[in-house]
Amino acid sequence: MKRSGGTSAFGDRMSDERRDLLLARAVEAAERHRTSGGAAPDEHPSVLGAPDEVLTDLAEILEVEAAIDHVIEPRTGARLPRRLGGWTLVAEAGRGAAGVVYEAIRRSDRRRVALKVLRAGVEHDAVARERFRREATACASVRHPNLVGFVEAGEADGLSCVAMDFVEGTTLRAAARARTLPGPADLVRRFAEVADALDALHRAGIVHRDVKPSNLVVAADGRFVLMDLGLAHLADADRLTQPGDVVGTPLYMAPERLRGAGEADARSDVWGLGATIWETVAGRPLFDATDFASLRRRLLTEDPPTLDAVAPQFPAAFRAAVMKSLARAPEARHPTAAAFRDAMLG
Amino acid sequence: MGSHDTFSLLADARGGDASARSELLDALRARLVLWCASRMSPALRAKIEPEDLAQETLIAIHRDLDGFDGRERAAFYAWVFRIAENRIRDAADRAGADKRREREIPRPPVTTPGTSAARREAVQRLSDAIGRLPEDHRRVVCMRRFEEKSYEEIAAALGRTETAARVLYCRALKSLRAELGEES
Repeated sequence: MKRSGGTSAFGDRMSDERRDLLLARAVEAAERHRTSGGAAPDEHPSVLGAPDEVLTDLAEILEVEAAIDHVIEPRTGARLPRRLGGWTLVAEAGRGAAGVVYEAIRRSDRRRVALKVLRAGVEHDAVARERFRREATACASVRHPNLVGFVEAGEADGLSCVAMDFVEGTTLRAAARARTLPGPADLVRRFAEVADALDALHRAGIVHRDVKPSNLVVAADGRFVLMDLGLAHLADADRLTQPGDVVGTPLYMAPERLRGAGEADARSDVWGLGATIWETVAGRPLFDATDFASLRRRLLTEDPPTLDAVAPQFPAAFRAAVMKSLARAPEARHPTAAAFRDAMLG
Repeated sequence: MGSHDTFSLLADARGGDASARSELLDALRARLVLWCASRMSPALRAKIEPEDLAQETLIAIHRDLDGFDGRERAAFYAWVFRIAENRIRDAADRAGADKRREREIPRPPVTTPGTSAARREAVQRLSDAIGRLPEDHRRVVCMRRFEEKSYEEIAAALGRTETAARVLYCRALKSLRAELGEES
């Protein structure tokens, strides 16, 4: 399908049939997200490049579905506020492959946090619990202005939880859509800060595993804060049992991870950050696709389009740095997030 | 989140936990009321209220719950709605066979925690809006949301392709939203 130069990835001459199909896919993706934590609707390939009308329709449909859910599922709908161990869950703040994130208050000192409650039903054997504790302790030791502050981790009513500082702000994706991001010079600096934060995490022995636009929050002072530190794997997020659907979008997952060819490491995080930056400055996702299978195929076989044409307003050194982070072979990328940072700053 | 919804009560309810059983039945109520309202013919609705038909269904579910040995969500809802189908058929037969006698529906006390006026209103609003939908939209909403049928099953029931069933569902929700938006 020929692409126009406009904002929609599919051009303006999309047939009604095509639009209907996109919408149906998006609605289904939303349902999977709700029930089993697949990719959030706005990260599903069918939605990423869709025309505005599809997004409007999707929003309306999700509204009705929520209204129906509220009525036929009284437990999940009307269940907040509720207590979980020493926490009071106030509102739902988001969902991911690993579990649900709530805005919560620690009753002992009224501290407000983002509490990630890991999905129940995961094999919480002694080994997994110990690994969770170890990683949580490691996360607690890393403090960085561009890393969400770690508060505590543990178990509440038999469910593993991670508490982080509650950061007010919009996600990078939302800010990009609303066009409230700063100009190129500032943006380069902000991204370099995130690379620096990622490097701090890596030096503490932690791999983030889930760097993507919805995990970067633009705080009130303009800082980009990286959320959701490397604990996602504890709830099967890395087990690619189905092509991407269950574990979240493959769009920010390094090719070697998609292939199942290796554990996540610093270089796969570098890729994730590169893909995030590419999408933000280009104003569109790395690849157009309507479904995970074709998206995955393209990620594994195609080189990403160069930024030179789509983001010429950014410095050449920055553009080159981003493209290098997206090399399909890990050894061709920046070896560390620090190297990525330095390359971005030219 | 799957771990806390209505279906998650089933294990405890069958295991003898009386309050889980009561909560399960209560949680099913709204779904059944909406389903009955969608499925009942106007003639039948003149004879019996959807709430009463839903109540009959809940009584039967309560009675037969220990005999249900499925573990999957899909199996559970298929079982629930088989019972509901039987109730609706019986009610239609009763309504046809004896037009003059006023049928008293037994109402054994079932505790209904959390059935607030606001919730009843929400059920009513949704029920009315669904009632105003065209037949095929009503059917697909019923099958997808209340009966939790797969698109494959819906497609087979409607004689369409799976893709057509998905698209129909989207259109049905859009028209439902329009109906809901009509009210103040």
